[in-house]
Amino acid sequence: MSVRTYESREFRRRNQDVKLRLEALHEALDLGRSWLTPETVSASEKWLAIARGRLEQSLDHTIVALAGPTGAGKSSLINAIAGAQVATASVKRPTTSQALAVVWDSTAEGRESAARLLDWLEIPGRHYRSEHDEPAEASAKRLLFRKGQSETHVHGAQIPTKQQRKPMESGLIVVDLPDFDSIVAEHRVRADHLTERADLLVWVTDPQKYADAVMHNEYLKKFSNHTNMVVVLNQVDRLTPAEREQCLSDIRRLLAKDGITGATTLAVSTKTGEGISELSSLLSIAAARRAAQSASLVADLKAAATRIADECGGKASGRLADSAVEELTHSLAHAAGVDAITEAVYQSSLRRSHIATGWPPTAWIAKFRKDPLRTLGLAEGWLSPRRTKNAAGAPLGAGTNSADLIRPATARSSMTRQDSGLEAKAKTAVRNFVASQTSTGPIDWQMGVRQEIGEVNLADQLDSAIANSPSIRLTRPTWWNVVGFVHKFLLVVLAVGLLWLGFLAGAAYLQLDVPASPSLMGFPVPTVLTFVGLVGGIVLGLLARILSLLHARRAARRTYDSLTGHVGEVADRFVISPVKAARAQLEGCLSAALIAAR
Amino acid sequence: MRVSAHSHTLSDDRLTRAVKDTAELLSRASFPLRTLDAQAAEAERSGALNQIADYILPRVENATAPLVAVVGGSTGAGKSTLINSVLGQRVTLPGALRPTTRSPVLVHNPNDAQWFVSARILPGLSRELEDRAPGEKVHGEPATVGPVTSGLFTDQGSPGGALEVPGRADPHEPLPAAPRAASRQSTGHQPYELRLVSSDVLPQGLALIDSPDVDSIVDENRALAVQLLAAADLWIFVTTAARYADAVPWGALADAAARQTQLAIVVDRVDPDAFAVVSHLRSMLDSHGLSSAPLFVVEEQELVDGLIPAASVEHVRAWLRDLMQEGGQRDHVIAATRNGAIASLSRTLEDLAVKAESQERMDATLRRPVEDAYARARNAVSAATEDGSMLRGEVLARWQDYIGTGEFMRSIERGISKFRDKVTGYLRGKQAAPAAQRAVGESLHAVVLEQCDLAAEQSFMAWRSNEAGADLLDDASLMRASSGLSQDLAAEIRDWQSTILSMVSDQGAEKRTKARALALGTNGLGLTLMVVVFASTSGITGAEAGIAGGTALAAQRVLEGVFGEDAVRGLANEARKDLDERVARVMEKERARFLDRLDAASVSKDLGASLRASSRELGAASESSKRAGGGAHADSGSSAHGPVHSGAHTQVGFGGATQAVNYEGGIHLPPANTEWSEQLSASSDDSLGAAQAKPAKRSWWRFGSSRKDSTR
Repeated sequence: MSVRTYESREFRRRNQDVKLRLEALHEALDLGRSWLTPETVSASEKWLAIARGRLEQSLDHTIVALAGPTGAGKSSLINAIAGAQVATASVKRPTTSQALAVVWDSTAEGRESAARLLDWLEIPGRHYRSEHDEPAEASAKRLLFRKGQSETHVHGAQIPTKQQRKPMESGLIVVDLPDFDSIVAEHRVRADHLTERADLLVWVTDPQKYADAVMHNEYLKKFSNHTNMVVVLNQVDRLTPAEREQCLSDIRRLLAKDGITGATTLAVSTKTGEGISELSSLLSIAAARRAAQSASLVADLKAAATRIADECGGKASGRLADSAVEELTHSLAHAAGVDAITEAVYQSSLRRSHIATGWPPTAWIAKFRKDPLRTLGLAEGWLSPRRTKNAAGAPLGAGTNSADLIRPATARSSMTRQDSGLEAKAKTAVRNFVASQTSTGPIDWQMGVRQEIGEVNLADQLDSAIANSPSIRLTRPTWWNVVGFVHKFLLVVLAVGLLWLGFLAGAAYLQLDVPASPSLMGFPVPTVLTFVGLVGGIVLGLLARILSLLHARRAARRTYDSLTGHVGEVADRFVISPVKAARAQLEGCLSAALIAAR
Repeated sequence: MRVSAHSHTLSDDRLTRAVKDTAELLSRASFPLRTLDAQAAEAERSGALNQIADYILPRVENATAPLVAVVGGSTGAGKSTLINSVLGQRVTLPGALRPTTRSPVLVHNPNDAQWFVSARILPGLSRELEDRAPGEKVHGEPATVGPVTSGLFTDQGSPGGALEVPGRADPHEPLPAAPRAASRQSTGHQPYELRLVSSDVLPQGLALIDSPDVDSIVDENRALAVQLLAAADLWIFVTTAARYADAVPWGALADAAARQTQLAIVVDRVDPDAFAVVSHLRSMLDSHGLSSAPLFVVEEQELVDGLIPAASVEHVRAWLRDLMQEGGQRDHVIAATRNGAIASLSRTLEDLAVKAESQERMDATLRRPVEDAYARARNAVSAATEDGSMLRGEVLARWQDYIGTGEFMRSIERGISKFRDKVTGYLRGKQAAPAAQRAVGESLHAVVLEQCDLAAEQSFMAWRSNEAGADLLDDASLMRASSGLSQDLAAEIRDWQSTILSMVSDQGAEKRTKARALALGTNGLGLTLMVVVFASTSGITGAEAGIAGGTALAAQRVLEGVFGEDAVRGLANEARKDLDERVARVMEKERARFLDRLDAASVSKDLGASLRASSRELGAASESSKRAGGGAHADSGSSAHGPVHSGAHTQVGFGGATQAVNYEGGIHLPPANTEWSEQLSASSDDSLGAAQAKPAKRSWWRFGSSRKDSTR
């Protein structure tokens, strides 16, 4: 029987599935290594290594491990299955200290790859049997102490009920493990090593030991994700048929309690030979299907991946909330003093336009008010747009042909050293943002994100973003000049009117005869001039005031938007992007784990 | 060696008191922090408490109470069958209504009933008295026992089929707690009852307990088994040929050896072809320091009415009989186990003391990073409020807004206050002072909040990196400052600012400086004082002096101009102190979120020392008690040692020494099986050498079996 026969499409598909899960688990582990618990990381690494190692070995061979407590009769069982005295069964406990393998394969190359597989498993003792050898049952009978009973007890397995057993399948490797419950601790280590690497686990127990805490709590529960396990109750010859039924149903009850479903329970006796042929054909079928290898690896990878997925905290969290991003930007903007600067720009603009367009007789007082921008250290001087453009290297917006530009000082003395208020506000804003956007993730991950982001001195970044921002500028609109000119003209008119009236009054006082003033629409011209100059100036001042308010508001809004934009860039670079990346990492880890656990 | 009765009583009183004090101390002790060994410590503590209540105290109070032999061992080893067979009575059959052996059975002589009906020993287990006529005898007649429901003893067909498990298959649904349970400091979960069965087969002064399995799959059963073993004067360990190398029972055996519990071992269900097991077990026992424990072998064989044929257990019966005989080793067994238990308790206390100290260290380990983090936070707030770094940005701008026009204002003629107010109001902006105050408050708020967040984060991380700490972090919100902090803090800062305002207005009102104070206004003065406070250490140097320093200096000048130099210093100090206190109060509340959790765990500070003291006192009391009682034992003990080889039945495996009663080890084979004896003689196994060297050993059971007719 050639081994190649079994390389069916189905076989390849299953191995492809294992490889896919392996890759996914690997990716999940890589993404999550920094926050997953060390136990999960090491468990995943272990299962990855085991799966990789197993895939490198012959997949044409199925490793069946006979595991069980000391004295359950594992060695007797392997002898019975092999139909030969391969292992020394003994009454002394514990017996088997080195694992022993029986390999069914007749081809030389098959045996060679089996040998490599056993090397990987670190099993020194090997016996090679050919599938053409005498069927186990017949030879087992020769080893019997007593005559076997004819009735058989097989549960939960679809086994052909042929009396005549088929020969053992090529590719089957049955391993007799050391016990896991004796006082010899090394046995346990060996047993653990092999149970983790076997393709198919056969738990061998006996009427005395089947309810032992060690087997259930430390072994069966650990492998509860394996769907194709076999639990063998050995030494049933010690029980009456009624007890046997009780015993088997009790085993099934305990298995269900361990969370194991779909395990096959089987009553055997190596003394009477009962159940041996069922067990053998069960193993034979498993070996023929070549499915146990991938099933076992899939079960282990799934378990590891499920563990990772659980630690990722379930649902994927989607994209960042826009409202949170907006809130962060606004908080940072406030912290960086954008509000204050905006206010200053508003006041400054108002002040300047008042000086430029107010009624000159009163507008001069405004010069005594401090320029708020200057107070903030943001107004260094009046620069022409062209020079600023060259200096800042950034193009300025259109329509600033007559703009006065206030360029921030390259080194603003008031902000050279940290402003602890700003720093604290910025940090709190970032903390709020990170907390709200990471709250669904695992805590270690959250703390990782916090630490990463906390390392950046955001206050400095914000400070320099605003300091180097070319956009704190006050335009000097043309209408200011027009209004200023009209104001000057009206002042002249007023002055002329007043002088004229003064002259007339003086002349009248001195009783000089002065020709009557020309009149305009029935009013004397000097009076008209004075009235127009005075009322026109005041009205113009008020009109200009309204325009100034609108202008200042626009300037403030522009400043706010522009500065907030810069703050937003800083926030994006130092906070939002890292949070996004971390979330992507978490989501990647989760989805990879879910793929591996699917 | 004559010891007066008086001194005997005295030292026993001392021992009783020491034991009671220990129990009291242990009941108060706790190991709340989840250190690596805390769970073990809790288990040790409750184990010790149980043992004191169950065994040590009753035994110390009354040395003449019946000897309690606990029959324990592995699942399916056939403990119940052994007890029934030894008694020749099916006493441990569970009742029909509640077919379970989860309730341990205590078999005693009818005359000893008063010792066990009360909660004198095993107070955590309530009693279930069995109403049955004493002395229902061997060989069947199970009629009185009712229908056999469990299958426990029904396996007539299979040899030695004392399959226990299906019968006890249902012990998973816990019973309601026994009414008298936990009457003393029994800490464990105790849904069990102790079934009392009286049997006149048993000699007076001896009681047998059928214990659950030490390796049971049911956790409660395991715990109870351990508890019962600790309550035994004598432990009869039952194992089988299949099980004798299991790790779990050997753990229990090691405990017994360490505790010097007197021990006998029965290998049950030995197949005829498994004889090698016996010598192997013997050698294992020897290498575990249990060479003095006698080993009884019971063959695997057909049961007669659920009992092992009498001949096969006769050696066990005879051994027990002789143990209880007048002049037998009973007192030695009791004394040795008791002294061993007390010594072991004393060691346990020492061990617990070490663990208690590690709890104290862990408490400190957890406390320190939290205290450090909040101390750092306070320092950072202090630094920020002192070194002028608050006087930047918006605060500075607002301040300059306010003060910038000051020179101009002062140049204006005083006196025309209405006009001046209008003018200054226009020039300075009416809201300049409150806006600056708000900016100061906001900055301060932000700084304190940030530091509280940081400290919480640092504390959280420090605790999380530690298992005991992570256990206390029940709330992920601990990662940040508490949610109410922002509001509390805002209130504190508002209060502080209004305190400052009232300080300056008081100061202004009582002085001749009233006019000048009025000129600046309370708000302005208050603001100025805040600025002075925030630059109080003048940590401002170099270029800083240009702006912030200048700011502070200007503020100082203004204030000094109003109040005078001394008053300004006083005011600044007072304001600063008030601020510090408020910050400290807020931080204290934040820190308490962590430390309260640690305090709630309440690691006692001197538990380690108390435990050590208690251990010392226990040891001393035990020594003096031994000295007082030793004479009496020595008398009988020396006479018992002699006839080891004589074949006299007083020699049943107890070699009586004064301090520690030694069993004769060796192997006791069932009387009927001469074939095995020959095997034994032929065996070249080392461990058998001892047995072979004492031919009297094998003659012993012959003697015992010859006596059995007279016993019945």
